[in-house]
Amino acid sequence: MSPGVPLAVSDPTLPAGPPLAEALREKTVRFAHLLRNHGFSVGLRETEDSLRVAEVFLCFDFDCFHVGLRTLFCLSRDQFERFDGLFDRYWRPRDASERISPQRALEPHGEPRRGEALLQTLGWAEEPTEAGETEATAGASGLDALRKVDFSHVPAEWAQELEALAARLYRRMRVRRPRRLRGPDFRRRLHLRRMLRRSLATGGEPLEIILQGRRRRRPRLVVLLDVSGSMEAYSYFFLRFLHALQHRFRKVHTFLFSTRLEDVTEALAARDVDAALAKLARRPMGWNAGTRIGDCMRWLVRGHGDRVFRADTVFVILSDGLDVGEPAQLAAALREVRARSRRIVWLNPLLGIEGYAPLAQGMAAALPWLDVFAPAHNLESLLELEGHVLI
Amino acid sequence: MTRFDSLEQLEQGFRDCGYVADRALLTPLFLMTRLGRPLLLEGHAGVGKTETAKVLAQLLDTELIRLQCYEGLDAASTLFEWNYQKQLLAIRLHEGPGKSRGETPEDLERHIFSADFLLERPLLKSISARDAPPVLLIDEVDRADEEFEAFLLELLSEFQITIPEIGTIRAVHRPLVILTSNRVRELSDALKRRCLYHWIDYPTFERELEIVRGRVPEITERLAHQVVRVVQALRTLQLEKPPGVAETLDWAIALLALGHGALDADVLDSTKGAVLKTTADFKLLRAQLGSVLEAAEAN
Repeated sequence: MSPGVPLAVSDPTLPAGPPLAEALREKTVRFAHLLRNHGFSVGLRETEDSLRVAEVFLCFDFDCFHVGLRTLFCLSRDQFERFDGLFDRYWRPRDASERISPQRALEPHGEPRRGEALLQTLGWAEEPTEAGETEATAGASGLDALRKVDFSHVPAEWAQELEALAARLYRRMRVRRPRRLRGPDFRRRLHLRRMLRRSLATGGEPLEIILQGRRRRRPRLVVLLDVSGSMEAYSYFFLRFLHALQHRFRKVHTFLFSTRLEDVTEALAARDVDAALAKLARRPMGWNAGTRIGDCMRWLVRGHGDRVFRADTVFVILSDGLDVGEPAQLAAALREVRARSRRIVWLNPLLGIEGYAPLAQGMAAALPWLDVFAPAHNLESLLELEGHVLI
Repeated sequence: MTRFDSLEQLEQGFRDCGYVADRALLTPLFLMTRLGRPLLLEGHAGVGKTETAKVLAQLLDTELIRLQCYEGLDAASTLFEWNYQKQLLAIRLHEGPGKSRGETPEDLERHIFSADFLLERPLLKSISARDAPPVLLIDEVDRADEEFEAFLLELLSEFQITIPEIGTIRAVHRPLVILTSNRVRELSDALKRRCLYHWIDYPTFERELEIVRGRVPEITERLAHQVVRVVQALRTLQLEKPPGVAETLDWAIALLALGHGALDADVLDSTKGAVLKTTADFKLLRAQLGSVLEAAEAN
């Protein structure tokens, strides 16, 4: 355990071989710059390491050199293809026209990042700029706009791009547990009373350590999604969102409703989102025909309540609150849910519309029972969910 | 052996251990031992991510320390814990009649907070190895929380751990770190940048055939061909859980155990549980049975 002993593994000495020719060093460094200009995250350290990769491999195996650099510069599989293309054009161009140099790369290039093409069509992305650094910023602001577009105003031909972005963001969504992991947890104190009691069994010897305070865990969710006609524009995106949620919480029970209530938890459990949605589509349901929020919520509590509600359950309802049922019924149902769950979160896509006030009868009746009333009309508002559900 | 002189040597070593790996995987492994950087392996379930670490440890004749990640993984189960019960016993012994040989309380404290009373968990164990750099396998790192990831990042750059009662323990030999991920959750760019990255794809037909031959030597050539063809065909379907190499091997062994010399519709149906793992996939297979069997006979 004494410091200062040389680290055997990172020892950079090399097997016998000629030192890398200056020209090759330069060419390798240029290649690193080229990658940086094409949006790869290449820092000083990567560049240095690429030289070492070159020293290790270049003299005897070109394919290994290729794989070695790829392993160094790529952060995910999605980048492999782009890397391979650049590598080939730079290191083994078939003819002069294909040859690529770092200078060329500084020109606006023909391979926009995924999503970027769409953004340019939409006029959100700034024109491609000269240097790599600013290009990244342009991309960021463009994506920012896509995050803010209202789901009901996404033309069909753009939907796919938005889906791809959403899928990526959902996977990154942080559902953070409040307890931090640093060293061992010295701050929690002993639960003396319980330890004493337990120690009686071992002859007064407190053999078991019991600490105060409980570990907080991710909450359980019960989600109720409105799929009635007025929500049609949003349902599709919400379903995909709900699918993404399945694996981020301890347990997510998902129900769809319009005039009837449908438990779709099992269908959404399929790993592939398209498979899950296809499964859903095959089920005969009375969708798109009016809304009876109050009734559906009561059926939920009566029919599934014992199964799905626990003390730490967060109840999330995604609906525009346009209800054909009695407002009083909705209020009564919410009171029942309230008694069984930790928190009620109502996400309403209409809240994203400027000037909207929750005056619809149903919505007005529901308001007093809600802990959180928040918009849900675009990606950004959905990604806020974390803040609403962590207790 | 603590390092490999050449890629060929590494390749030969893997082959001798019965692990058929292509250059695309061996190159990052070789680089890992050279650059001293951790290696992040991603890929579908059952393509041999974990196995890679095991074989590497075997080849280097060093210890494999494995940390299986899960949600809520905490410091006590990754770094160290004091053996509280043993400490308690030591105190009682000290207090016993006629036992205190003039030891002061300070001596006792030093005694019960010494290495004898420390329970080493995987991460501490990996940096306190004295003889040779161990292989540290951090399995399914995407299942752990973001906090753990941040903590890991710190460890992977410093290779030291501070224990308040003892002091800072620095790695004598930097462990060879292999992280695996199934992409349940996106890992942070910071962690990825610290690592070399490789995506293990499903093997090609020839490669997979070679793996089956290597691991199940008793299998007939005909059956091996059929099994691999069918599995490769299955992977092109939209299955919920596409079979990995592990499933291919399981299936081959199952077929041998049952004494089947060749595949047909009945055999496939009765042994499908070795390859497919959900009822939805069973259904899909039933619908596509014809084309799958056709693939088995193709040349």
